[in-house]
Amino acid sequence: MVNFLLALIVLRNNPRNIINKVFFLISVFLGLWGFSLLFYQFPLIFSSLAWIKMTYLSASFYLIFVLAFSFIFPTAIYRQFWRPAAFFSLIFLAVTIWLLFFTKIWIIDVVVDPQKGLQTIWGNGYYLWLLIIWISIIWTFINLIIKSRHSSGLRKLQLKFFSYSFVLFSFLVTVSDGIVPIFFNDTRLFYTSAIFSIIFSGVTAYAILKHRFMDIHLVVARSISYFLLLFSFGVFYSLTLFLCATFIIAEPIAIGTYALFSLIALAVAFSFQPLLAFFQRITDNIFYKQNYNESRLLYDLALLMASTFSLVELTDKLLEKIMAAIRVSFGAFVLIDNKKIFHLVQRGYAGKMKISDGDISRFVKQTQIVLFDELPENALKETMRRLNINVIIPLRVKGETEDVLIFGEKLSGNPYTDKDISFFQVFASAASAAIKNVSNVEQIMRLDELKSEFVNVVSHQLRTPLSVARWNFEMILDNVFGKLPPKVEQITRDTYLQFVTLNRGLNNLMAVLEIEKNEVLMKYDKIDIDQAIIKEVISDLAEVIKEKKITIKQENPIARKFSLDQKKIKAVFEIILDNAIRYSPDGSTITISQTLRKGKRKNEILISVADRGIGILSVNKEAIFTKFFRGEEAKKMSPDGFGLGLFMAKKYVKYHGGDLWFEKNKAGGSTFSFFIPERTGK
Amino acid sequence: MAISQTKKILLIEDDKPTVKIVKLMLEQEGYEVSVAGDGEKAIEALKNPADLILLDLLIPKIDGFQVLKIIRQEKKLKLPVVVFSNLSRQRDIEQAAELGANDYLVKSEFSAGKLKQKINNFFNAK
Repeated sequence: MVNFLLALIVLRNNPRNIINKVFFLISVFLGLWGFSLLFYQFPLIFSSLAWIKMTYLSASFYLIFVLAFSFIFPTAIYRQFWRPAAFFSLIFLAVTIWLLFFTKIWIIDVVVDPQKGLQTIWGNGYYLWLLIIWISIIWTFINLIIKSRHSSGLRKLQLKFFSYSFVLFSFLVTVSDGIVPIFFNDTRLFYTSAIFSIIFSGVTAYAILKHRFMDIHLVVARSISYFLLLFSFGVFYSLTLFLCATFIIAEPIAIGTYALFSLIALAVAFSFQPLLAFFQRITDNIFYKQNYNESRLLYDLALLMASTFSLVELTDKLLEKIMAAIRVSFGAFVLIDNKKIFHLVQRGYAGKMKISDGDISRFVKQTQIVLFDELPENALKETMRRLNINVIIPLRVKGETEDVLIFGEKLSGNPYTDKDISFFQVFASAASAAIKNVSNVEQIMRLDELKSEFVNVVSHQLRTPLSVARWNFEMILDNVFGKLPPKVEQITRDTYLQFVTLNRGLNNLMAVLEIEKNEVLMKYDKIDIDQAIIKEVISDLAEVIKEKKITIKQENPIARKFSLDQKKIKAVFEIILDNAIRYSPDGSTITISQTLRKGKRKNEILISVADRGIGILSVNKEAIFTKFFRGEEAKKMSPDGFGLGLFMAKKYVKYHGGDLWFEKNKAGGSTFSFFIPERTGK
Repeated sequence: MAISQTKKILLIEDDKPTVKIVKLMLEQEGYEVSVAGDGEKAIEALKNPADLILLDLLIPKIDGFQVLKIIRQEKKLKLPVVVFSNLSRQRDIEQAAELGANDYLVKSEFSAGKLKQKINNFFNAK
């Protein structure tokens, strides 16, 4: 029965496959062998003599098909021997039929011995048949062993199980059906061959379940869970019926009984799914010991993909997670660019994987997941064998295989299951998109870094001659080289101021780039704002102040040191005062005031610069602090400006925890103010 | 400004116009200025004692960072080294500080007067 069941499952799994067909026939004849032996012992129909002949005929067919199987499983080999093998099989079959049904030189009769029970009387023909079957057995065994030696991984295990169980079975049957009857003149042990056939079936079934023999792993697991389900239904239904009939109804079936049955049927229907899931869990736990939750794993991997922006880090973390879940000996992401490896991230592999350009070109041709065990002999299989790869997962973007993910054997020695494959399929599509995105981000970052380097060098190259020119003009204007005629001095001063403006613009541009890249570092010192910032800036801008005949009025200077980044706050104040001077009419007054005030938590210093300039439109209140913004009036009055100063100034004040804003003055012009809270510590 | 004893400054700078004007500015302040036009010459010049080094970073043969490293780690010299460059990125400033620079002056941020004042302050503060 077990054999017939096995035969049907294998055939159902893939009816078109020649291997499955032959295995189906092997199992059928093994089953027939068992049946014949049963009827030989208990001849319900026909005689024991007829059944023993049937037993031998089944055994012969079985051996012929096993021989055929050894030629075609797992791959067809030695095609040149197929014809001799078929010829041998025909002779084998002809001799068997002739000996069994047309002569009395093999089986003479079946008698019942008073002491030994049922006995088969043989003639010398039996020896001839034994000789032929052992030729067939040895031939089969040689085929299987040669194949086993040339296989690896899963196939090797399958062949090992199959060939050993086959030889063990053949040997045991020869002892029980040949050696014992011949030497002890007793055929009572005939029935044991039926038991041995169950052993053979058991070992084969183990090979199927443990090593995905012929792909029916899942089918068998599911069939058993379904069987358990039906069985429990039967018990439940019968018991319920029995209990109802005995204790509740105890009467001929009435309408109420039908209603009760309907309720029971409903209960059965409703409990079907939970019970099915329950038994599937049990069978899955038995057959997939290293189980993992596919959706949970995918969720974890998705989180990783969404939060990692370094390609090497991402691929390494993904490998770590997958390998821990599926328990794989090694894994690697082979990231390919222009048919060459540009990143190889591997885990668990001894040494560095030696992947050639040829291997890469074979990898990128793959459109589907490749399993070593299911691949025919070709160059890719050779590569996989050399690198011990068991599975290749192509990572495809826009229909092209751009990268591949590879894994070695599972640590358990088990093959990859259909569940693993379906997980890989889902993961591959998500991973290929994530890798593409991260590569793009990395490329942008590399370009950004290049741009930063470029800007840095260019600004350096521009600033150096500018600095030299400024210093030279300063020395000239300081009369180091002698006093200049008034007209020359005026022209020199004008030129010098142009250079100063250009220099400041370049400095601001560099500072803004640093702000954009979040590379601004704060360097706090205790600073006297009045002396080290306000007076310093006024002194730095003395040339333009003088030029425009501006009066600077200072109110309430505060003699107190504040913890701040001197360079940055000086830049802030310089920008504000420079703007005030630039946009004020000649001869006007600019008022600088300092106030120490109580803030929300700490003391704050408030600095204001009030001018009588062109003023700023209310609509530009926010826009004025954005990059490259310049008001229309400002452009008219001073066309050369970068529009970066106020953006930068506001950022610097914000870095100090303060703020910068402006108000329109009632008497015209505007007041720019900023405050900085007092810092504790340095 | 009067200095009781002439202080020696080693200016490590490859840009000739810069050398010319900076040397003039410093000499005007009364310093004795020697010049090294590249990294190798700078290392060579370390044999002669100086009171301060003004070091540009982008110089031929051995760059300024390397020169600084040699001064501090190989030669173990303790004299003040002031970086004088137009590289103004924070990472450059930090790297110079880590290698032992005493100060970092971005050329474009200084006028001639401020530069002279900064150097004078350096000596006066000692």
